[in-house]
Amino acid sequence: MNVNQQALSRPSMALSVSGLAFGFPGERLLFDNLSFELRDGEFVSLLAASGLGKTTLFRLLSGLLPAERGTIRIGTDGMDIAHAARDGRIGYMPQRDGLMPWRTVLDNAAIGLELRGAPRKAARSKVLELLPSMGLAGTERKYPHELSGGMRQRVSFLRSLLGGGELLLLDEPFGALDAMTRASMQDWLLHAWEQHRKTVLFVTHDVDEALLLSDRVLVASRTPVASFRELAVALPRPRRHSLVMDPAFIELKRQLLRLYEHAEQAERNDVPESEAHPR
Amino acid sequence: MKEKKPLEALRSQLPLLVFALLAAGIWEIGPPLAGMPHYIIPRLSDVLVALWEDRLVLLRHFGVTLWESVLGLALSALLGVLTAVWIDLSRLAERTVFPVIVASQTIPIVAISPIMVMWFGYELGSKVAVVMLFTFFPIAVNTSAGFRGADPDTGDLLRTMGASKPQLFLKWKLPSAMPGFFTGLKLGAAISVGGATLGEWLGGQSGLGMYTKRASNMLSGDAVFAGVLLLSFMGIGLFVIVWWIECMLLAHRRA
Repeated sequence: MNVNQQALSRPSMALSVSGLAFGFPGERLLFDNLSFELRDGEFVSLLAASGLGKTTLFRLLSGLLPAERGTIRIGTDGMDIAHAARDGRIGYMPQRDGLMPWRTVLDNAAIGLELRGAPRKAARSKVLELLPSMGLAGTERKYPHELSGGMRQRVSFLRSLLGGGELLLLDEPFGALDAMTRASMQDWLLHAWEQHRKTVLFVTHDVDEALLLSDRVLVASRTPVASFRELAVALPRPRRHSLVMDPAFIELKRQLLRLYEHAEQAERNDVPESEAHPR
Repeated sequence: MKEKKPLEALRSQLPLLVFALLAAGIWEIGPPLAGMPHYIIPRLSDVLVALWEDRLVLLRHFGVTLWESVLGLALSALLGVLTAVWIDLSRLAERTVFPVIVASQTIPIVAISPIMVMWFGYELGSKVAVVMLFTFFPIAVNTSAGFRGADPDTGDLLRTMGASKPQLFLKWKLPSAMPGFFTGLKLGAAISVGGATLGEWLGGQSGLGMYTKRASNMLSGDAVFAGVLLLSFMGIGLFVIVWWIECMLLAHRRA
């Protein structure tokens, strides 16, 4: 597997998952001995069919669900997920925005800082500082019901950014948006990410979206997921949505789809896929 | 949104106004035409006259009943919220206390109200107890529903941010339960006056309930209706006050 050049220059790990196993009681395993890593500052997408347990994986990675077996470690210090979550080191952005209707944009975005004991004034001024760069200038006093779907997702993203330190887990954040809003939100996310360079794990089932945003795309097709196949996306940054028309992009898309089909095939034939591990 | 002009607001309420005037008119001229004796259905003007003539006595009784209602409602709100919190915090309470509270509603409150008089005597205590009997349930159950309805996504999100249990309660559960609490409190406000009235019937020396009962014993229909009119206004007034507080506090929410 070819490795992203940029990631190689910063080899420290933001997330290391090894030997992860999980299944809901009385059901078959969703993940079996799954291992993968995210390098610091990397944007990685997880492309998987519906019903594969993407949301469950995120709940495991954010410490909401305990793993049956295996370890999940965060950051260069390799802190265990349970502790890391308690310290607010993970920013989880759920599929539905989960904004609190009784809080303004300002107070919704500031909740993470507030929970960690920051004085309200300091938390608010920090949010106010970031609102313009999120395309939310002037919305600080608005309530969630006054915002469009795209705006709500921006607030949700900002909240995750401020709530979690190092690692952002984005669970199909644009899944519910219409195509036009979605495209503009992708541009917006590219822009926001290029400014902050947090490590991101992004779940989607949109091939274009995965390629456009990511440094690497992980692919899974069948449960139980024992490994991911991966594709490095060596497209230059900064990127914009128009990139989807680029021949290089289309070639990558072809590779990704082939990878996806192979993953299905391989798992159907029950062939062990050692080469699919990032490491 | 544009503010409504007073005239436009009036126009939108016009049908209601016409209906109320029509009803008042029928009340005024209907009973004599139908040959109803005044002690069965007094004319509206008779009621208004009775209201005015007995105003000082009525005002004192009004105050008594209002105090019983408000005190009972306030204690119910306190107890109802505490119960809802308990049910929310404890799985065991959810499976034991909650069903019992719901099942208790099959007991006719009117039938057990005399027990309150037995236990709490003929003074303020028994009236407040009957009001609580009426108002505790809607407040406890609706607040409890509010806690249950708290968006689990928001809870998960706060947990991933490292929220402690007290923080989860204060910043997620409690604000989520506010609309439910107010639904219960509004219901309670509307029926609290009925509870106080019943309490006074069962044994009391003052209050509008006692006043109307005594007036009806004396077959003075106009005084009964005057008392009933005031009781209705009290119920409506309490409801409107709670509703207004709700609007103030939850103005920015959308269901």
